[in-house]
Amino acid sequence: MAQVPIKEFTKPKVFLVEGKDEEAVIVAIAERSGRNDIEARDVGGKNQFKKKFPPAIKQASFSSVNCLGIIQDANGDPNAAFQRVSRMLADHRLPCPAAPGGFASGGNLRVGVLILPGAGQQGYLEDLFLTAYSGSPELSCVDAFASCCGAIRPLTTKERAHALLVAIGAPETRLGRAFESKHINADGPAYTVLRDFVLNL
Amino acid sequence: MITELEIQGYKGLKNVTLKGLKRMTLLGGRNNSGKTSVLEAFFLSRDWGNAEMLTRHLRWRGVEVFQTNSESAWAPAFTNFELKGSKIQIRTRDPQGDRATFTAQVIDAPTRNPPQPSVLQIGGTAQNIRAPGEPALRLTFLLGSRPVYEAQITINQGVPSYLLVPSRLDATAPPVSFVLARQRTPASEDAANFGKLDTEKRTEEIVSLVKIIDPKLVGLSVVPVGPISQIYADVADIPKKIPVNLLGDGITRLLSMLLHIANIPGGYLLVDEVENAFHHAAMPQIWQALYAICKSQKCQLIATTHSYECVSAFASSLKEVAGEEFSYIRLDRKDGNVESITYDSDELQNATEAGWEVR
Repeated sequence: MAQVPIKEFTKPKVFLVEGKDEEAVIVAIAERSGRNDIEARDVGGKNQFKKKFPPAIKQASFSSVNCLGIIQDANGDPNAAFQRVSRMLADHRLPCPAAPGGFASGGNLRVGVLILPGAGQQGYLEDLFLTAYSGSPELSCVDAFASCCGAIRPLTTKERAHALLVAIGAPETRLGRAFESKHINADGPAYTVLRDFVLNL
Repeated sequence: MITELEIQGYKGLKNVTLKGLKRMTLLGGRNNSGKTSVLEAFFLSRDWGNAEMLTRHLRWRGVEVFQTNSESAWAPAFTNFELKGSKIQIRTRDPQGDRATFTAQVIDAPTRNPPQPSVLQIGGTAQNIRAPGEPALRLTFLLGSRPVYEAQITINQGVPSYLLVPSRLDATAPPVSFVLARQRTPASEDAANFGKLDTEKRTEEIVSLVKIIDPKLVGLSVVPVGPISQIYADVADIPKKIPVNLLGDGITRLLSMLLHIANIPGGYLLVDEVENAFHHAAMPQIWQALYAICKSQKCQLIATTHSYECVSAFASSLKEVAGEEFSYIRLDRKDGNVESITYDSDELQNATEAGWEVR
């Protein structure tokens, strides 16, 4: 029987996110801002939200949470992603903001929803990372590589992000690990939408 | 089988409703959240015809000596130890929606027309069913709105007396057994249970299920040892049969549970701290063994635990064999009240897969 570390909420502001990469970037933002009231928990993938959300909020420790942030990638349809989260919140009688990036309060709980990369765009967390290196020699190199590969098959956003991690000399080709090891940070303007959401929840 | 259990006025359980009970239900929660009290309350509601029904829990909790007046004997079962004006009410609902209601209430005024004592009386004397001014405990059990029995318990000079007035003599309660957290079922009781099964040629299932834990077990038999009997085990590689207790606490405890279930078809087994005596790696097999016999005997098991490994094994092992026939209920104590949170089989599976805390 595989043993999994037992996870419960220990901070008043909790972010539920798709995966380890999102978890790491939120922790990095909180640490660099000197905030110790924030924690992030990944649900194990974008398709796991519907299954893992109910038991997450049934935990006894959820009663101590007063702010809940949900962050999902838009993938190909930011509106559909937001509607999925809205329905999930409604099913559990939790407050839901009127639009992505917004907040809503009900009872003792404030809830925020952010669909990445934000501003109603399609895409992922990795888009923020790529934007952060816009105009850099590393991204130019990746673009050249992507262009070359494109003749064989186009690279996905996540593949371009992996290539950029290699180009900048990150120890691993995992975006989350690069944040954890402080090889990169989320200080730049590319991350404003995410940083503001995390710090203002 | 019950699907809902509502308890009012029993110990720290002022008013709590447990929903979504299944054939296999596991209760979790922090210390003093009321897990054991839930088991005790349910047992109380089915402990018909026993003058000590409201004091058994004291012995189970290790209280060896108490004054047998009504205040000392009964008050610990009531919320805030308050007898006057209080009542314990335990309601259950079955899958068809039918309700059963047990009520225990102290009545202060002497009964002008005491129930006729000729029906059944255990202990005491009919003429002294209650001394003037001495409180009595009035018990009622209803199926729907139809009374099944009404009874009174009194304590006169330290001796509890039980007077039963059945309204429906054909009514019987499904049997219920309780496996305690700290005390072993007496070896003689296990032997009696095994012997009963043996006479019915029903020991094969028990032996096969115990073999899951100890594959070297060849067979079990009841052996008289002086005035009492005991279960002995035939173990491969050991030339003589040995008392089954020598195989370890885990085997003994599992065997007790299996024997209880096998002897209460259609009934209920309550197990406090079910993980006690078991290594966590054995829990998946133990859950599957318990489910197998509960299903074959049409029994319902309600157990408590503190162990995450136990909960995790419950979810993962039963998902394979029990479909949706299991649930987990956590009790949370908040502001002096107890609330229950039910996880259905899918939610529990998803929670333990993700490593979410559920206790």
